[in-house]
Amino acid sequence: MATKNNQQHITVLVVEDSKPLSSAIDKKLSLSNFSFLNARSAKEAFEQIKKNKNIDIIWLDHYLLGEENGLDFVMKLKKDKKTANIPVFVVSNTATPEKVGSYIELGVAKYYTKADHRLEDIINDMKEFLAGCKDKKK
Amino acid sequence: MFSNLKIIHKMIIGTILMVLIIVSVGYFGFNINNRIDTQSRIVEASRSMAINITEGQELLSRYLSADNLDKMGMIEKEMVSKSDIVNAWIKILTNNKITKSEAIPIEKDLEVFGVTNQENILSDPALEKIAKSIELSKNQLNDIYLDLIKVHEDKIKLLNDFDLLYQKEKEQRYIIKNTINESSDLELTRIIGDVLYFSKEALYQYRDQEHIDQWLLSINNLKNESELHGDEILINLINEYYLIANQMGGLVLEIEETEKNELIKKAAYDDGIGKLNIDKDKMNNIILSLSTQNIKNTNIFLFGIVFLAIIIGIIISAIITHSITEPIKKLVVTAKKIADGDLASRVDVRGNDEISQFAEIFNKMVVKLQKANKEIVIKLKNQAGELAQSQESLRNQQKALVNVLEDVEQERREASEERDRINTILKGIADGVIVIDRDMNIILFNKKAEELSGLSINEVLNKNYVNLLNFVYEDNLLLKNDFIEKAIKDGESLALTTQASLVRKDKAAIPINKSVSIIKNDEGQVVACVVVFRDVTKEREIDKAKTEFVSLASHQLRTPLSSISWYTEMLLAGDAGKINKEQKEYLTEVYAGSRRMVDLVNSLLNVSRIELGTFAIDPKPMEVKSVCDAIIKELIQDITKKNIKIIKNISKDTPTIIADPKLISIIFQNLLSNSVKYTLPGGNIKINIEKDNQDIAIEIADSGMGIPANQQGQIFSKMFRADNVRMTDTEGTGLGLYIVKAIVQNSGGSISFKSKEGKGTAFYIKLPIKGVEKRVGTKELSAG
Repeated sequence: MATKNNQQHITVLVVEDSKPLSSAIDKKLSLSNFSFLNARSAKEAFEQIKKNKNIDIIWLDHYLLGEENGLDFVMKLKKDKKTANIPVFVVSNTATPEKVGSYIELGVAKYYTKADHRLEDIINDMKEFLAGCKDKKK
Repeated sequence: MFSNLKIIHKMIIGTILMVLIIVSVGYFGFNINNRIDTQSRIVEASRSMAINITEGQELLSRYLSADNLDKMGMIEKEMVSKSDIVNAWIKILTNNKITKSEAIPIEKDLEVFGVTNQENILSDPALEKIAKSIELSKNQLNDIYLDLIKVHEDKIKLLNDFDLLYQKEKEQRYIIKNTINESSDLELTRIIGDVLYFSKEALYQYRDQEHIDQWLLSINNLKNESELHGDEILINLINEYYLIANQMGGLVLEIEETEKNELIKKAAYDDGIGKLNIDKDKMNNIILSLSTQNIKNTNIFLFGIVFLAIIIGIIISAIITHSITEPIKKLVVTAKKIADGDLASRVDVRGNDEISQFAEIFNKMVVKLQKANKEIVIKLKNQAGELAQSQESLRNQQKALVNVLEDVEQERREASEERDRINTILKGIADGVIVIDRDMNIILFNKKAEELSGLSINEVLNKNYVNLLNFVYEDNLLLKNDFIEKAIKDGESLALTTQASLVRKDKAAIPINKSVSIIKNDEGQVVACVVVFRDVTKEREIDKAKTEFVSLASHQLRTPLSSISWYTEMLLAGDAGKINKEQKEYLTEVYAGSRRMVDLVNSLLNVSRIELGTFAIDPKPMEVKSVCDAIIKELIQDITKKNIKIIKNISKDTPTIIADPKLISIIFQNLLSNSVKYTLPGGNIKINIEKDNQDIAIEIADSGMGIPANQQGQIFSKMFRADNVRMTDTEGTGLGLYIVKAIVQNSGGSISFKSKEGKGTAFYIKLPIKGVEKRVGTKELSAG
């Protein structure tokens, strides 16, 4: 509750193909006073980014609908100067070292194995991360 | 005829005969030598004679060429006639530094060879023919010679005539020349010059028709000119000169003719001489071969005499030898008969020599022997009866022995059948069976063992197994075949089937399961070791497929588990509205269940990665202490709940180690969560961390329920859970310690434990401070 007053409204783009999981995430985000946008494929995600200029952070799964996966999405995202600075939290169950390595190399903020982490913990990490960013900006 | 002589006399006679033979052979040898000597002299003489004849001919031709025809009588003298050959021979022999006394035997030899006998030589048809030919040639040659002499005489007469006229001509020419010179007639002076010039050419230089004609023409000119100018005296002088000149011209032509004739006759004579020489050579050769033949014949005759003498010698010595050896032979035959038992035999040798005396003594000795023999026979007869009795008893003993042997044979046959049966079974067994004796030699190697190892029984039987059987670790293929030696030395069987690979003869490694059993004798000593092994290639493939399946399935399970976890989490947090106490209790169970499910899935994933060999190791400098603290923090809820006391004792010199933090935290997570799980409320957990040489030593000891002694050997096996923990319904997958051991071993460390049921368990881990090399795998291990 203490954080609620101190922070600005945060918008999260949730890129997750599994509907049950994305609705759980949405629910938890709104309960934590976050705004959220949804996308189930890389294509939808870019459309959302185009439409909404106020996205603060991206919640990303690896396996997505469509031909492109999370890794392809991050690659494109980091290429474009306008979007390169949006932090990305990868939350996925496919935790092979190569994949984690590739994501970290591309510059994602964090990597979580879905099954091993509570929603609340991930969202708290996000809050802390964004607060940290703000401090740096100041 | 020698039988009455003593041996010594026989010897003397033999020796005398031999000496006589040697002397006669020597004499003949000497004679032959003489003959050979004579032969070479004759050959030499023939050669000398040939030279002599040749010399005569040379002389002859010299006479001819010197135009010394008066001495042509030499031809007759040197000519070879029938008698000349032998006469010349003897003459040569006597003249060629041979003394009279030496010449006599040679003459005799010549006689022997028939050389002096002219008839003998002339009776040879070839020789006769040549002799005739020579006679003929000689007559012809004489005719030619007479002609030659006549022509020569004619020539000389003509030359004499010419010389006389030449004197006249010179005088006349001189007078004419002086007369003309006095008259001082120029024309005549010129012509007389021509005459003088041409006369020189015609009479000295050329003496031929052409120059004579020229000369006569010039004289004619002089004559004509003198008739015109000269006085009568000059005319007469010139006419006279002209007549002389004509006469001389005729003589020159005649001499020319005679010389030609003489040359022809001379050539004919040379021809005759040549022919005569050839015939003489032939004759010489025939004489030589005849005399050589004679010598050969004589030699054969001499050799015949020597041969005869030797034969006679051999016959005489054979007779003497026979007269010595015959009595000895008789003696031997009789002695042999006596030895064979014929004591009635006697030697029949008569005479005066030593052998005959010996035979007499021998006969006396035999008489005595016969007498003694009779006495012995009587004694032997008495003993034979006793012997027959003892033989009977021996026969009985033999029968008994045969019965025993038959029984043994029966036993042996049964044992052999039993062995065949066992061999058939061993052959039929689907597993490789090898038996190794106490000396590490292979004493049995069944069909399947041959098939699996690629070695034939002949290659291995009775040989030390160490260099033949390449059992290796399955993962790194390092040799590991000392387990057999160890089993034999310790006398303990390895009842559990253990995994390994066998490197075949063709270097291919096949995965196998093996077991080792020890065979002991009644005294408890190890006699052999039986190794049974089986190809588990198929089982391994199935294992691999299984592991891959688990890995894939685990991934897919995580997504729905995430759903369950997150929704339950929200329900419990009251995100969907307030829930009552009972609802909360139920949801807590659901949440715990889903967490266990996630843990199980993670553990299964780790196990499959360990077994596939695909997990990664990423070593980096790290603090063991902080990993330990983090895990304690994770478990703090349960620790507090069960009121467990954590006693940490971390030494100050604990170094930073090189290891994969994720793997180290899996170790701590598993060991500490086990301790918390199996320790009763109020118990304690001791954690010791310290440096130990090149390693870091970690001890985690609890006061929990401990592991039953009979199951302590299995705690690191996959899915194993001890009976006592299963009884208490405590949760657990049976995978934790299996994973921990795999991580410790792959990190280059070691793990051991001590445990007592009801008292607690302590795990001891050692990890190298320097760590192990980075290993890239496809999968990381997930924390429990």
